[in-house]
Amino acid sequence: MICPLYTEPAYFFFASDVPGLLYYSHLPAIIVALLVGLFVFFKGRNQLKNQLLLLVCLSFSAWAVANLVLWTNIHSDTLLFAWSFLGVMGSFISIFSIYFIYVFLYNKDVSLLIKLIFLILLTPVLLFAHSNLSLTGFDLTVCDAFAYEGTFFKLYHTALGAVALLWILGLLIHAYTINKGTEMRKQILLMGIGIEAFLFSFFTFVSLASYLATIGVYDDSRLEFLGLFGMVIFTVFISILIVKFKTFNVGLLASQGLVIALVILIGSQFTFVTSITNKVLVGITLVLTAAAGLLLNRSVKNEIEQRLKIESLAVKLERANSRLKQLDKQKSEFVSIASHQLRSPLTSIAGYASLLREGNYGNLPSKMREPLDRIEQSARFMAESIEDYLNVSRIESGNMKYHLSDFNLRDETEHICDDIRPEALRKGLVLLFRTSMNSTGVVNADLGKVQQILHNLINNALKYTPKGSLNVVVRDDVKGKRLYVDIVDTGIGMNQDTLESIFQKFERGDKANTVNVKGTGLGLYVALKMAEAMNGTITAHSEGDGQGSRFTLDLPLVL
Amino acid sequence: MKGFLEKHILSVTLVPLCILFVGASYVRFMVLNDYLVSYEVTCNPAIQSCFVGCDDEECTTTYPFYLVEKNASDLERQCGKDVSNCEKARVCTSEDSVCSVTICDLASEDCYTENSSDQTNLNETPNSSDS
Repeated sequence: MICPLYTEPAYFFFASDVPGLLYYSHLPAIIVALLVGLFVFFKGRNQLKNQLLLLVCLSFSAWAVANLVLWTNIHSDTLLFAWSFLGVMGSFISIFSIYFIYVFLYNKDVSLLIKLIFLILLTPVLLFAHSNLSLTGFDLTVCDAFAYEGTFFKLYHTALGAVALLWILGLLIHAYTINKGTEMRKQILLMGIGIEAFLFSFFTFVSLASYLATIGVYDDSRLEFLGLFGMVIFTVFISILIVKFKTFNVGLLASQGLVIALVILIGSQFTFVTSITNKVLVGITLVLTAAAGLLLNRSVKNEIEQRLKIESLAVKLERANSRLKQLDKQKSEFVSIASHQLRSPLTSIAGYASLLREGNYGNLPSKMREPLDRIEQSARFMAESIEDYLNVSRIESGNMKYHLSDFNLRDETEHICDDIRPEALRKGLVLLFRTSMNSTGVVNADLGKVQQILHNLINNALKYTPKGSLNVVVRDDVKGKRLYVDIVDTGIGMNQDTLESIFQKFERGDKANTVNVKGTGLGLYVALKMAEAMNGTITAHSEGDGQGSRFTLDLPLVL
Repeated sequence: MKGFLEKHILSVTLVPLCILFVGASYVRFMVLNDYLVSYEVTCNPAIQSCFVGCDDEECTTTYPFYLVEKNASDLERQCGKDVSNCEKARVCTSEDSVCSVTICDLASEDCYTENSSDQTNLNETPNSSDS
């Protein structure tokens, strides 16, 4: 039967004699609910909370579509069929909202008992929604069925809304209390405000409008339009949760959310704009906004992807670096163990070779002296190399021990020069020792380590100086409380590249092999590390290849 | 099987119930038209008690009417989809399984009087019956 006083709608939904706010309240709410529900679902369809959010959104959309039919259609059979959905969908919204909030808050499914309670609450609605308990007839004059709605049935599904509001409030308070001091609290707060605002506005305005119309106090059902805006508020809160907290395991950019909201907002103007000019203008604005939004999102997405890629690479690099350090440490430990095993037999070899050469085991033929010399020299070089490896290993594993004490570095340097001078003379070099002091030259350092450093630096100068002289100068800077030992030679010198890498492990000067074939390339590295450990340093200077070198040991002066 | 039922008890039970509801509702309202419809019928205040109807929200113009309530399927059989120009819709007939005509009760309600504006002259006299 048709309502004789009303006109047939175009395309089922579009009637001319309906309130202006009808489409503005229904269509955006339906679109937003479906968009959010489906978006969340397809981004994580295996997650229960995503499935339940979709069910809430679908139930709401179905309710809103049915309600739209009631406002626009004039066929009593269609209207009553749609009317019967209102109670069912309203009940689904209540129960699925409770279920959704429970899973969201506790991240687990509800117990079988709660499921049975849900089932018990929903079954009567589903069983009787089509019956006379729900609807008995239709008023063709006013084209509605308010007067024929079953009071008990209506009261029941409206009460389910109140139950949902209270049940959810209880769950929210409980979860908020047990999640003290966690990030989850903010999510609970946002979700709580969103869902409670939605359910409260939906059930209050819809029920109130329906109740007032039934009792004839206020028969303007437009009041129920306000209830639908609750869903828009809810989806705004869901969007905030997604953008800010990646809730539902969904990554959505704030710009994407903003563009979607803008497009929906502009598109919703079609529901109340009537003139062709305005429709065209709204259409142009909509297309331009959508296109600009698309470009903006693409740009933002690219930038974010690049940033994420760099962050990911940085994390991988950090891991690789950490692994390398670990391997380096393991290597040092291995070298340390292996070196200890080698050092003892080498000492024996060198010692016995020396004893044999000195005739402690009887006179040896003169032609055996040279091989014995070579055995002893090679064994000592090998022992020195091993000592270098051991020092590197100790430095890198942090096991190098320093025994600091006050001693006169000027005197120690002079003694070392005196020790080495015969060797220099054998090579035809002059080794000079000079001082330029305003203090006594006392430093606080490990005497043995300082001696080792000076031996290393002066011996190096000796090795890399084929002719000329070596000058060892001790000078101080009383004001700056520093003491310097300069070892200046007239040797092969170094270019800039060599200067930059000379203190690195296994680095030797480019020309090193032309004058001295023996060397591990560890001596300067060890010397520098030792000096640094004693609050000092070593610097190198050279004007270039063939221009000689100057190495300076710098240590803190004790006044 | 037990675990499956525990996990999916809601979908296992709600889906058939939903199908049942949609089917039953469709059959009742769309196929059988098994519901009551009520509508206003123009009335002659000279020969019967009529309710007062308003043509606009401010009720500046009124009209007299009485109410008829019938089974939708009976009405559709008698008049088709539109009752506005159907004589059988105005009265209860022997074909009606359920039918009632409600006129204004002069003792308890404000009924249409000669002073009411926009009075419509009607010659029809409705038969009132409940079956």
